[in-house]
Amino acid sequence: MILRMQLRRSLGQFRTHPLRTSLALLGMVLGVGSVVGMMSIGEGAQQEIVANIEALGGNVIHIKAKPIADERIAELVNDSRGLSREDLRALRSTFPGLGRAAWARISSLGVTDLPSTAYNAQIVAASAGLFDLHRLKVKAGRPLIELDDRYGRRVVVLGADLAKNAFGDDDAQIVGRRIRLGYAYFEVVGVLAHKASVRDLPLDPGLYNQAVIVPFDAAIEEIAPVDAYKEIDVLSVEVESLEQTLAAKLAVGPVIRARHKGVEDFELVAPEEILQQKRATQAILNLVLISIAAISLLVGGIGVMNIMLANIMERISEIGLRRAIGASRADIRDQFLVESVIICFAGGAIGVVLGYAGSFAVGVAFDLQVAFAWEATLIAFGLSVITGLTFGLWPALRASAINPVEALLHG
Amino acid sequence: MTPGGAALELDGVTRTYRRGAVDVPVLHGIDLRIAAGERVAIMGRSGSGKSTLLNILGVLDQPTSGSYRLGGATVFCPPGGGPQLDDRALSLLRRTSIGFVFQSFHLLSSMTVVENVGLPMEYAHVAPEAQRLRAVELLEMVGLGHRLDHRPNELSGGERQRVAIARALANRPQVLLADEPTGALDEKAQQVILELFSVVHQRFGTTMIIVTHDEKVARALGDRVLRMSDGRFAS
Ligand SMILES: Nc1ncnc2c1ncn2[C@@H]1O[C@H](COP(=O)(O)OP(=O)(O)OP(=O)(O)O)[C@@H](O)[C@H]1O
Ligand SMILES: [Mg+2]
Repeated sequence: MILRMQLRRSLGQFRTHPLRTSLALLGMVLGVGSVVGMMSIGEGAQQEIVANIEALGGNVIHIKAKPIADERIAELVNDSRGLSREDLRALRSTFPGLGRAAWARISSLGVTDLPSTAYNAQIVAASAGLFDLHRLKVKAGRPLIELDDRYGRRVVVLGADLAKNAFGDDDAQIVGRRIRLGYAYFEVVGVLAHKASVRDLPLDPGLYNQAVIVPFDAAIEEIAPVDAYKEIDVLSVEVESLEQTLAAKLAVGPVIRARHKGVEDFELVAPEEILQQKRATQAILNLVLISIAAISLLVGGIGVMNIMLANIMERISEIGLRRAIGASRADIRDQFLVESVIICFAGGAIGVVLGYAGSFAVGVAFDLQVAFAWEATLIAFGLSVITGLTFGLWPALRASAINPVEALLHG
Repeated sequence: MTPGGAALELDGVTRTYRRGAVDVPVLHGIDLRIAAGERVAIMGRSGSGKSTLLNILGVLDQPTSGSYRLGGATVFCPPGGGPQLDDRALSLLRRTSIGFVFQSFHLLSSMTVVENVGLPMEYAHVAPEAQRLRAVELLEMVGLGHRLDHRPNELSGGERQRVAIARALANRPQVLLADEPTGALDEKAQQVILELFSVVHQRFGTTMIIVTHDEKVARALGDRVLRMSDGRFAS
């Protein structure tokens, strides 16, 4: 009942002194709101990063060929022949337990009968495993399979944007078409589902939207013969889990480097490492935001202390009466502490609501992913209680020290 | 109970206020024995120290020297005369043994009548249902059973004082202290309050100490009338 009465009394403050109370609460609302809003945006960013990394297979490490200037190739070629399937063989003999692997060679579109709307297409000569490892899904027809390679089938899968630009929206119409690439005809057997582009990943999954995916050997024979240097552009190897990609990178790096005689013509991409970098950036950002929040809470706390003092001055005779009917100093102290905690908690609750509202609005306006962050919400409520206790303590102690006889003479 | 059945016992109680660097003695060695169930009226000129004495009797203020025993318990004793009670113990004593009635009622305007009467029980940790039952019972006794959920500012002065008396009785105190309980009331309301005090005394046998300026009130309520002047009882 004390608590219920306290609650009503504290809410009564809003009614009797709306301006004073809202000003005091503003700091709390801003402080808590910024904690929650920022953490919700941060959490969203985190989830987006994970989703992006999943888009290229989270538990896969990628070995990417690094471009080498043409004039240097002649000098390097004695030491390294660039990235090739030989590298995979070397890895398999060093690590017999190595998981599934896939590779691709990427080149530009040459001779073709595709309409000119599709000229920015890229030929991706791929092993069938690429569909699994790079999380490529078809929305019509079928993906490439092992047998396409084994029987030298002349088949392709088209990227979503490319298919649309070249042939329109009707995927059923596209599957079964024959297109000319180089001097051979290929049958379209599937169309890829659209993949969101993530430009700051070392491998942009959006690349596949403009791709013509061709079985590796058929592509080498008909469209993109292998040069003296660099057989493939990317080699992807599956490991157990996302967390293991970093360790795998550290293990794989030396093997490849040794084969390439120290020529830095490749780079290793481990999703876990990207994740850690992004998290580190996020952590710095969070620190800045938390400092802002702390300052807001400090201002809010001082505001609350202020209204508590004003509040106590107005209620001196009430304090005297309560002492007379048996309240101890500790009872009076606790009463005002509870009150300031309730006020801060109310401010915190408004802050949580506004913080989420704000972050979701920002999310919509700037196309950012935001998320509900449980931790942030709990921290925010915890902080409001702590602020209430900290800044309520001094006024509460003052109230408890008031001489009851003098207090009773007030009003 | 102390031998002789005294409910309250003051011995050589003085109270000195400090005003800046000057000591202002207000009570000069008060000796007083009041028996359980006795009704005492205290009269005296303004400034003679009546309220100061009442606050000490109510354990709201502490004597500068002297001793005070309440219902057999030592509330204050001269230095070296035993352990001094701390704030918690003094508050507990006020809560359980003492009921205050003031000239200006001191009802909390943010609470309803029944909540005001329940407040002392709140501090005594009485369960909410029991609180309400007792508060309603007391309010019916003072004739306000039909105004339970009103606010104090919706009541007349006399009605407010009846609420205050109900509140003072909430924790069944042995001692009721009233500082000019009728000072702010007109004739008619005063009459009602006086009758109420008599009813309370008959029903509960409460020891009553009433400070008043009014001879009629003193005669109506006091088994004994004490007159104070300059911090002493005139004999
Ligand atoms: N806190 C204080 N500081 C200094 N002097 C005080 C204080 N409280 C009371 N006094 C003085 O003590 C004296 C007695 O005051 P008290 O209130 O007990 O008188 P009273 O008999 O109740 O008078 P009244 O009939 O006007 O209520 C007065 O002279 C008053 O000025
Ligand atoms: Mg007085």
